[in-house]
Amino acid sequence: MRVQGLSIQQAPPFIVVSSFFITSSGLWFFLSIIHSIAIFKSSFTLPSFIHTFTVSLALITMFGALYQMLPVVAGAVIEKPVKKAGFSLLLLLLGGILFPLSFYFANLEIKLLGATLLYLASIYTFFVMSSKLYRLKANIPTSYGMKYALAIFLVGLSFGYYTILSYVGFVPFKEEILKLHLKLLLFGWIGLLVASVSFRVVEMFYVTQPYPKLLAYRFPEILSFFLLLSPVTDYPLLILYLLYALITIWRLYKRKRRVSEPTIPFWYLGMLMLIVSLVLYPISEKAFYYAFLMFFSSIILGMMQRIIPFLVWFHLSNEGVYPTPLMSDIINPKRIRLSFYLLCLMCLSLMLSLLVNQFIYVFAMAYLLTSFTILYNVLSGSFVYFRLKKRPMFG
Amino acid sequence: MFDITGYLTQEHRECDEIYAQVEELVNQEKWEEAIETFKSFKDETLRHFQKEEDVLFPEFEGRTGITMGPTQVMRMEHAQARDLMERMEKALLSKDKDAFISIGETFMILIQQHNMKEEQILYPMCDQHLDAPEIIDKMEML
Repeated sequence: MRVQGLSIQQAPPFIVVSSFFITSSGLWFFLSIIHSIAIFKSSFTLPSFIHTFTVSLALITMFGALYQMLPVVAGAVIEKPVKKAGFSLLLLLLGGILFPLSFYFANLEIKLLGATLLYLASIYTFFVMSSKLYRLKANIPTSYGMKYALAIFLVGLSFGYYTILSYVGFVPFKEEILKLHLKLLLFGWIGLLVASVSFRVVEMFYVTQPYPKLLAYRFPEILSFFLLLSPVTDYPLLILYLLYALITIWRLYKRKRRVSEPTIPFWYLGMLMLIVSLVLYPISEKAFYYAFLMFFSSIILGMMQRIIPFLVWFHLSNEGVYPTPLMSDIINPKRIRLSFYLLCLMCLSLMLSLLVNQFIYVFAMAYLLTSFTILYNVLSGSFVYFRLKKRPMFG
Repeated sequence: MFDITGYLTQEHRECDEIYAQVEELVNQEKWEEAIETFKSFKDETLRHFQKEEDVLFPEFEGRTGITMGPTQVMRMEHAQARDLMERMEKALLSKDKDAFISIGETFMILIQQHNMKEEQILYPMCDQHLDAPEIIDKMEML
């Protein structure tokens, strides 16, 4: 008798997820220093900035979260997760530093090396995850969306790698390929993954009405169709995401859990920035990127600061460490709120810098402080686990 | 007519709604009402756990022969949830709002990730291998 999903006790060890989150927040902080210096030296480059957020922050965090979520939420076991995740992470770490930095250097070999490392890491991780995920029947929109998101990710990434090869002169440069790379990865990978997670998380964690079934269960197909249409028109894609953002805000506003929960503001801010990005899309490419980066960063940073304390509590509790510190003892909600206020300042100053250039200096400071606060919260939260697991306390 | 997934998922949502009311009452410091509502919440949650532990899990284990698999993990998480509910009750009785909210936050994430595993993995497996109307009848009789 074949019984799927026997793996629910096989959630990966804490080290797997925490090492991805520590790496992404560490890289984000390191690159925020580089970008801030570049801003003050007037040598700031947009492609480096975009890839810092999409690769060093989002990709590494999302892969870490998927290593945790696939066995738990989708029932897809990943055997030997520490070894496999370790190999993914090593390549991602090297690529996640080199690739964003390469935009500051004229040397194309560094860019090619960084892109190759990221491409290899992503293909490897894709096969580790997809070999299990695609065999399982998806019962909920989250696992269904993950399947689509991973597939679109691979295609979008390949277009990106093609573009890098064209910069080096191995293949001819094609503007359409670059555009597809951007759309597939922003809307079809990051956007879809955020939406798929929210279809489940928002309803269950904040006790809201469920999303309309058509939207939640058909979002990946509708999105894929609109992505195919995008060489002709992008408006259906924009309207789909606008609808998603408005419904999410409405669901959160009407939620039954009225108590103040530190991650809810991150969802509101994320959805607000998504709406801003969609409105700005036809007007200014740079403004769209700025707002879209703030959209997913807000969601990712909020989730990261909930996942770490929960996993620390969960693993310590399972390992018999007593009394187990509560989530609020692991990352103080005041520190989460501080990171949110700094993120708000970051978003506001970045958007205002489009109108008044001097705001970019405020942004640089806010960016540094936000990334430092996040790194501190993730590191100190993770450290609680490593400190307590070695010295179980009784009584 | 519900299948096992639909029947037990509905109970999850009902418990969530009662919990949200408790949290709101605590937030407004309406302690007497909060204690009463928490009692309903705890009773409903424990009855749900009992339906699973006394009927669903043994039936599933008997049918599949798997006793150390997902059902064991679910039992362990039920024990963690029971412990947190006890702590929440103590916080309520001592009218300690911050402690209640703090324990409740951990409880809520534990219970929601637990529900996700059940709704996504375990219940569909039970629907696949068990006679749903018979199991639901047995659970209703508790």
